[in-house]
Amino acid sequence: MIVAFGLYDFTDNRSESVLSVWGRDAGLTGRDRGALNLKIDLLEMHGSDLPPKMLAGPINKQRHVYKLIIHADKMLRPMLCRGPFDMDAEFTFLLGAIERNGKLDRDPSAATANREILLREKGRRIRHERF
Amino acid sequence: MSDFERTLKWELRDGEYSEGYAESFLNSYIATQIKVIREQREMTQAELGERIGTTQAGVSRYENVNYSSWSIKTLIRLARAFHVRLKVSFEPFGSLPEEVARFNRKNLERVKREDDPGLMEEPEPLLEAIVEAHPQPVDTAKWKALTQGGQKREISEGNSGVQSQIEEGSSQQFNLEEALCR
Repeated sequence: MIVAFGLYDFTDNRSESVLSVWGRDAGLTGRDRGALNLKIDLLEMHGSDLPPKMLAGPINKQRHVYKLIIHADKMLRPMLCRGPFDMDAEFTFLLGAIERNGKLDRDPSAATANREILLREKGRRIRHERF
Repeated sequence: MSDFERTLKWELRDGEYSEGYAESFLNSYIATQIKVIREQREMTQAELGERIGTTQAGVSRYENVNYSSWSIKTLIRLARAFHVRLKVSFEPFGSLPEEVARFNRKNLERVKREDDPGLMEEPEPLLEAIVEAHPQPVDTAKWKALTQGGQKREISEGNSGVQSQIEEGSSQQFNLEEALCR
């Protein structure tokens, strides 16, 4: 596999990946993790260029926030942004979310807030942790 | 095998995980291949839609990694529009890591029937082609005998005075051509 894009996770105040914490708390099933990892693997290999409509967004007027759409046992919608330091070569996961009855259980503005923190504090992210 | 493939092989031992991963890959694969082949054919979504009896929006719906309501009927229509065949096959999970690792534009492209090298006429036998290109006297029957049978033999050709060893299916065929053309 040729890894073309760097993937990162925003970290919380305890320096833990917000996405990993979300994954634990959300009680992802095996099927959820499998479907999620496939999308993330394709994103790492090809960005959003080859697989069509990999990223949905920007969402809810949050200019830089996109979501991955995963149809599994749950409707997973992890939110991410391009860059934000190298817009052509990396993506950063900002927030985990689940869609229920057509609505996200987390406000996308929280993802924007995390991105802004990251822009101020470059150390607030780690390499993406696989589910 | 790459680290990625090793990791995925290990993960795919989990039944539920493997189903989630494989089904997500299936949908992503079909959607991406439709887009890649359409672009290879230099067709717009509207043009493809016209050929398969749907709209541009319909094709846009298929070219979406999140679409999952595929029907064989639709896929066959797409195959006809692309001048390729549809292959649906059940596979073991163990072959998935390599398929994912090889997932790229080049490997998704397909030649259309008209350009399919698998359907081209057999090329002329090498010897006839050589003789045609170099019409000096050559004992074709003798050379044919020498180049058939797959045995390595010591030969001596009076026409060019060249000695060579011939082994069918090896690069010696090239040497034979060289010898004949001298």
